[in-house]
Amino acid sequence: MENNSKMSVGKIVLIIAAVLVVVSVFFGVASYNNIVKLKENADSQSSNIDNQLKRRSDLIPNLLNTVKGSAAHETEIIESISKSREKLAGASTMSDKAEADSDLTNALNRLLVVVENYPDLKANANFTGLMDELSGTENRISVARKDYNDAAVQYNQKIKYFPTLIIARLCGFESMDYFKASETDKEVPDVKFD
Amino acid sequence: MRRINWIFVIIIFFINLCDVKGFALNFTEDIYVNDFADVLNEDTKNFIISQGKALDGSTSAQLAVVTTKTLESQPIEDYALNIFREWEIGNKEKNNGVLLLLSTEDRQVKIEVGYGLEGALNDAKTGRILDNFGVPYFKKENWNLGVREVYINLLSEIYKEYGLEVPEEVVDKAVQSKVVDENMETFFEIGVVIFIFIIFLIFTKGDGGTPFIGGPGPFIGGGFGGGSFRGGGFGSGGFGGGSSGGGGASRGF
Repeated sequence: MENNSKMSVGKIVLIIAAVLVVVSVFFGVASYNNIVKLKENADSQSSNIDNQLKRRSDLIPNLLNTVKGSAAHETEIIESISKSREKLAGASTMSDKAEADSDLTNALNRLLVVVENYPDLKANANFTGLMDELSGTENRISVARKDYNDAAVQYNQKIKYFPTLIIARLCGFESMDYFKASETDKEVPDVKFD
Repeated sequence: MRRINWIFVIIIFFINLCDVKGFALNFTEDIYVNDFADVLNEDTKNFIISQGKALDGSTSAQLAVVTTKTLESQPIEDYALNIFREWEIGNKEKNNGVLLLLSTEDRQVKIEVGYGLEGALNDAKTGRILDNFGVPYFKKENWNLGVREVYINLLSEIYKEYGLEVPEEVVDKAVQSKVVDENMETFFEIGVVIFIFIIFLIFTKGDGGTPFIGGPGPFIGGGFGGGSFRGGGFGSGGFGGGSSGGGGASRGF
């Protein structure tokens, strides 16, 4: 009788352990897949940012050539634009990219202010077209940035909160940087009508 | 009981979370034209509805117009993107939606282009369309003509992208709408001319002068073809699930 009850206790423990193992394996696989999915989403959004940043810096040489045609002696602005473009090209981390991008935005905004003094340039169809492309790209970057940050938040939350935290630690998932430049980016340039 | 309460609280919490992202504006049954600012006349609306339907039918591209009084102190780029993504303008696979957003009190206009049409309607081109066909009219608060002209130009660019002929009625309507509006504006001048002509006839009292009077006068509101059918219950009654990444151009006026 005693023996029998001992056996059944051992069996119950075994069964519970087996169920726990099976459940945690299922849970582990499910949350691993979930994390991977979120990471891929964030990665694709981040490459979207890269595409737009690339597109933006590709437009700059054209713009500078057009500007040099009518406003060649605005060397300070021209230089600051090409400098921030180089900085953008050399940036590798998210925050470097964000900073370089916001520098470029500020330089371009300064150019827009200065252009008011050059009616020729302002009326130049090539110039307005390029500025449209640039501001369109700027807008795309801000959209892509928002999409990326949203995706990164989702991913980061997933890997930081229990219980998916365990899987994330075991498989070495690291948290993602945010693309942070949103506040300085929309600042009005300090150079006004001086 | 306790547990049910907790579940209830959690559900409410999540509903609230969703609500934060929610967008107040819903599109009207006309889909393609949503005149929240109440500045467009029936002619313009009917034109947009019938042309929008035709375009959707032949290309699956969706070209929608939204007018609003204010942008609720948001940048027009954000406002347009919210509408675009919330309504999901354009086909889900092709992302070929285009949104023309006009704010009459903030005096801004934006063309927002879905991912799929960014090639056909690049930023420079949309900027040019606004500069040439929208802003000059919007400056004078001639909302109807501006919206129609921009719409027509966007239509023909999209048709071209799909390798289709621009339907004749679009071209016709473009010419006619211009004529009608110009006639309205120059009606007085024409009146003066006719008046002088009559005086001239009376004074000369030449033979056979009168037949000229009442001859080819300006035609106003002549019956245009292409009857519009509003609210026809065949379509899905909504947009197609498209998205946009913020392409297009905007202008203040």
